[in-house]
Amino acid sequence: MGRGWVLGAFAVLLAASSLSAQRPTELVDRAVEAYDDLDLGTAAGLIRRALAAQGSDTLSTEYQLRALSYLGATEFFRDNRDSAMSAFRQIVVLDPRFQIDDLVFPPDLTSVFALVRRDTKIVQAAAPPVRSIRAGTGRYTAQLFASSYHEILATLAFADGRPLRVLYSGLIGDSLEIYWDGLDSQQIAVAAGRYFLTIESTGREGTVVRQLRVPLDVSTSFIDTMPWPAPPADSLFLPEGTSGGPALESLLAGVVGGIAVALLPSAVASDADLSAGRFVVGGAMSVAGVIGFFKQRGGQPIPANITANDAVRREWQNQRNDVARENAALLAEVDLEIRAGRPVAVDVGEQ
Amino acid sequence: MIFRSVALLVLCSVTVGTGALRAQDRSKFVVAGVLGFSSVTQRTALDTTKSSGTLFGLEAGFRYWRAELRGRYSQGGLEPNGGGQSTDLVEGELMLGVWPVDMLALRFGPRARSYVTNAGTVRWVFWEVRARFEASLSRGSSLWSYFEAWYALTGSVNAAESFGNGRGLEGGIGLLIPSTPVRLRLGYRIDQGRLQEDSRTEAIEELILAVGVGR
Repeated sequence: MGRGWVLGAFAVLLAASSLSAQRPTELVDRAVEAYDDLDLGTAAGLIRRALAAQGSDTLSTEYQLRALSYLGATEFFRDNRDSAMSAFRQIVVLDPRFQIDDLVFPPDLTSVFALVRRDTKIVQAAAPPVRSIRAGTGRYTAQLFASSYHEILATLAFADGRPLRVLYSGLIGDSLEIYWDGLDSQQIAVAAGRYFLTIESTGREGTVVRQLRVPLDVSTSFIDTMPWPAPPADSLFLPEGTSGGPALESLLAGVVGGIAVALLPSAVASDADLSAGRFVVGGAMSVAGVIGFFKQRGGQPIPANITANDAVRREWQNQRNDVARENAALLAEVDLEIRAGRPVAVDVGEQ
Repeated sequence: MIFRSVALLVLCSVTVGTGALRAQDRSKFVVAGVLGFSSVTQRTALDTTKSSGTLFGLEAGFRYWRAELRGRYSQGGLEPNGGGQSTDLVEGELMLGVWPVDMLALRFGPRARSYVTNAGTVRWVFWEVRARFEASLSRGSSLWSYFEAWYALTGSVNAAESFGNGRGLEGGIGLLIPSTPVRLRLGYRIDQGRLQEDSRTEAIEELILAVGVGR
């Protein structure tokens, strides 16, 4: 009975040990050992099992690169050249700058890898995860690393794919720095939302073969604008037309004064033999008063006042224009917070 | 007593005027040449004499805030209408005034008038108080009318009879030629001095043309 328990426990330990050996990283390690022992079939099988792992068991990029390097070598030495090149192509897509270890792998293999790397046109982007910039003056900079010398088109695009602004169009060698100032193609600060930094790699045939998309979530904060100047107070405006008051005053002053000059002298000097001069002057005063009345009667435009009022209005309009200009400048000075997501590479054409 | 009343009147006017004063146009100065066509009627108990002639004169005025000082001098010859010996007429006045409001001036001062003949000189001195109204007839005061009346509070005359009274008035229009300091004035003046008990009256009627400059 006691011997039975011991055998059972041993069986459980063996099963646990077997489960542990199934972990992808250990599968890769075992594959490397098999490769070193020239057991190429076992090595290839273990690596494929490791690469197929999903979820939390997914290999890290570093392990994927290692696994793919050995997978390519294994297939190369098994005379599966296409499979080898496919593995190497996956390496380049994962990390365009990756080099297989020429101390581990023979030169004929590394030369095949170099060939694949040359023909696989892809870039990798290193964008700051979070960066705040002022639209127009600040710079959001992304570093691009290319697998090989080729032509790229870097654009900023809306979430639905519509292009917003071309950031770079031309050749890339080893690496390239591109930047975005937060403005669209109309030199206006972009609205908050999701955008994509898209880098299209062009193949030898001139067609786009691969696209790298970096999601950018942009949030904005505007600077307070200046208030509009208040319109000029009514008290600042002079009457642009004559009112009846001054006209009536003129009429009264002229006519009453004229009558007084014509009639009152006889009361002052009743004994004197008065001349007609008083009527001449009195009449002139009355006529002047009547002329003044008609010149100043209500509704007549007053050019001097109209000019003065125009100056007041112009001054206000100028102030308004100044504020509009300053506000436009302030609105252009939008602070953007840019959050970069994980880049995604998409094959869009045959190499 | 009369002088105290006038002094009190001037003081009150200055006080009222100071309350309403405005900063602009605080000082004004005007000087003008005056041409007067005069007609003098002298009546006594015995007869009435009329003479006429032309007077030439000069007048000047200085105004600061609402206070004013002005003077006038004129002289000329009078020819009796019925023929006879000519008479020289000389007049001068010096008035101190205030403008309690823009349209109204109150003035006080002496005015002297002399008739100079070969037989001697008859000199009248009037201490007058005056009220003057001025009103603009057009915008910007380029054309204005005025009316001034006065009364002699006291006076003297170097005659056998003592001074009775004196009064007068003047009215007219003035024109400031636009864009220049030149002023033209057309006026009519009537003034009468009377001895006590109406023993003698003298009335001067004058049509005035004045050309001056000022600001």
